[in-house]
Amino acid sequence: MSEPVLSIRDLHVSFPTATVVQGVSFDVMPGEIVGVVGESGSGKSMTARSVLRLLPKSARLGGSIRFRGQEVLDMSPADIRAMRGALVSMVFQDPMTSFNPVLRIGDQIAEAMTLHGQKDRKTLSDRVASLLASVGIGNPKARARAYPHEFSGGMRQRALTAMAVANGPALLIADEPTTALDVTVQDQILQLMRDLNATSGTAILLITHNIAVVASLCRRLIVMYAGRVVEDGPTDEVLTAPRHPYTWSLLQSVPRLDRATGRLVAIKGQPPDPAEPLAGCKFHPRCPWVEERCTRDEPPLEDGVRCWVRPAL
Amino acid sequence: MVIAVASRLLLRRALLAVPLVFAVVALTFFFIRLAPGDPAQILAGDAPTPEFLAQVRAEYGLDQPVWTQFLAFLAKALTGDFGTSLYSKQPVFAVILERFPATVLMTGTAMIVASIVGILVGVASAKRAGSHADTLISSASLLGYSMPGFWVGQLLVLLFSVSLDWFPATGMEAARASYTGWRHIQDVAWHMVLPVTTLALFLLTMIARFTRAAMIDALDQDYVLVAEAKGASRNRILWHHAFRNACVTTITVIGLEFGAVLAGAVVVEIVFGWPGLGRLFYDAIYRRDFPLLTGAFMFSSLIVIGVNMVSDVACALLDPRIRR
Repeated sequence: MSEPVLSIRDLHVSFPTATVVQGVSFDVMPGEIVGVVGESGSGKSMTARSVLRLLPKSARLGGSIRFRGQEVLDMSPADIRAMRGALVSMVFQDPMTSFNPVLRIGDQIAEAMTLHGQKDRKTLSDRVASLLASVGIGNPKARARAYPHEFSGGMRQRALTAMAVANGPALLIADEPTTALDVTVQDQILQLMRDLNATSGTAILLITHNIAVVASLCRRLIVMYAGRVVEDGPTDEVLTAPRHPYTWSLLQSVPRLDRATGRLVAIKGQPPDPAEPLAGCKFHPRCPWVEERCTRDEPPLEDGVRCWVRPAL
Repeated sequence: MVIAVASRLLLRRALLAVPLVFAVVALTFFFIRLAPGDPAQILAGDAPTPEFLAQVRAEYGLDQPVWTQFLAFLAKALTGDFGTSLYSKQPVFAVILERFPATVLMTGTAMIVASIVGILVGVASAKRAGSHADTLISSASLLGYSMPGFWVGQLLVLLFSVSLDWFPATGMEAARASYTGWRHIQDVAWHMVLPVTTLALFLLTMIARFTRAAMIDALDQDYVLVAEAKGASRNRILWHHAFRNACVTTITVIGLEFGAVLAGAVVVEIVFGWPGLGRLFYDAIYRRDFPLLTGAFMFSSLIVIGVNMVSDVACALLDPRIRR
C-alpha cells in the first residue's frame, strides 16, 4: 500500500471557550475520495480547515496532521503558503461570496498560479481559459474578463473549482461545495469532482451534511459527531449497515424514495454544547441503546466505530 | 474601455452639475443680500452725505430691486463676465484666480498627506483590530476628529512657533529674504508645515476611521479566506484583496469631506495668514463685497462638484458593480 496523502492523528482544535475537535484521526490515500458527514458544529469544517491552518487566530491546534509525511502543524508560515493552493487546495461553501467582487474572475484564477511561481502572462491566460473550459464554461477567453457579479451561482462554483485545481493539487478539500446550489447545479459540481478525480488522480476530502452527496461520490465515509469521528468505513457499508447509533439515527432522518419509511424520525435532543463538558460517549443523552458505562467512559474508535454497545442495527 | 466608462460617467455627472451650480449661485446671490450691512456704506467711508451714498448705490446697481440685479448678473455671467469686485475694482474671476494657487497648494498637500497617512493608519489599525494599538489609534483619531481647526492651529503655533521656534507661524514665504529656485521651494514648504498639519488632521482622522471600518469588514469576507487558501501572503491579502474593496469607501469619504476641507481652509488661512482664497473670502464677507462673494461661492461649489465627480468616477472604475 502507498503512503497516505493526508494523515490526521489525534487532532484537537480548541478555542478559549470550547474544544470543537477532539482526537480526530483518519487517513486519505492518493486518489481517494473521502466524505466527512456530520451536522453543524460537529467539527468537520474545523478539521478540514486545520489541514491548511486556516483557523481563526484564537484557535489552538494539537495532535498531528501529516501531508505526504510532512508535519503541517510544525510548518513555517512560508511553507504553509507554499502548500496552500498548490499541493492542497480548498473549495468553500458559498460561491456568491468566495470571489473578490472587484477583481476579474480570470485574474483571480491566474492569481492562484502567480502566487506559486507562474508569471508568464500568455501561459497564464491560456491556462485560465483551458481551466474555465474544463469546468464547462463556454467562451472561456471572454468569460475570464468578467467580474463575479456577472456569473451565476453555479458558474461561480465551477470557476472556484477550476481555481482550486489550477496548480494540480494532490488533495482537494471541498467544504460543503454544493450546499448553496440548486439541485441540478449540485449535480454538475459533483460530476466535475468525479471527473477531476478520475483524470488527474486528485484525492478529495468532501465535507458535507448531505448524505446523498456522499453516497454519489465517495468510496469512504467518515461520520463526525461532537468533534469526534464516530464511524469510519466504506460508504456502501456505512450507509446500508451502519454500526454506530448516531449514523443509524442520521440515516433514519433522511427521506428515501426506495422504501416506504412512513414518518421520518428526527434524532431527539440536541448535540452537546462544546463549552459544557460531558462525560462518557458524547451521543449518550440521545442514544436509544444507552448503557450505564456509556455515561461514564468515552468509547475508543475501534475497528471504525466509536461505541461500547454496538447494537445490531 | 476604461476611458469610455469614465467619459460616459463624467458627462452624466457634468449634466447634473449644471442645475446644482445654478442653485448655489442663486441662493448665494439672495442670501448675501439678506445679511445685515450695506456695501455702499462701507465703500463710501465714514459719515457720507446721503447724496454720495445714493451715487455709490447707483454706480454699482445696488439701488435696483434684487431680482433685477440677479437677472443682470445672469445675463452678464452667460458672456463670461462675473462682475467686478466692489473693493478692488478688479474682475471677480481674476481676483479669485490670483489667490487660487496658494489655496490649491495648501489644500492639495493637506489632502494628499491626509489620504496617505489616513489610509496607512486605518489599514494598520484594522490589521490589529481589537488590540491595544488599535484602541490607542482609534482614541487618538477620535481626539483629532473632535478638535476644531482654529484651536488646533493656535495650539500648534503656540508650541512649534512661539515656544520651540521650529516653524514660522504666518505667511507663505519669509518676508525679508527673497529666495529663488530650490531655496524658495524649501522656504514655502517650511511655511506649509503647520497650516497643512492643521488642515490635514481632521480629514486624516475621518479617512483613518472609515478606512479602518471598511477594512475590518473586507477582511471578514469569504474572499479573503479564499485568497488565503490560495497561498496569498498577509500583505497581498491586505492590499490587493481587502483594500481594493475598502478604498471605495475611502475615496467616497475623501470626496464627501472635500467641502469640509475647503471650509476648513478658510479658517486655517486666516489663522496662519496664508494668502489664499480663504483669506480673500473672509475679507469679502467683512466688506460686503457682493459680486466677489457670489463668484467665490460659485467657484468653490464648482471645485467641490468637480472633486466629487472625480471621486465618483474613481469609485466606479474601482468597483465594477457601481458601473453602468
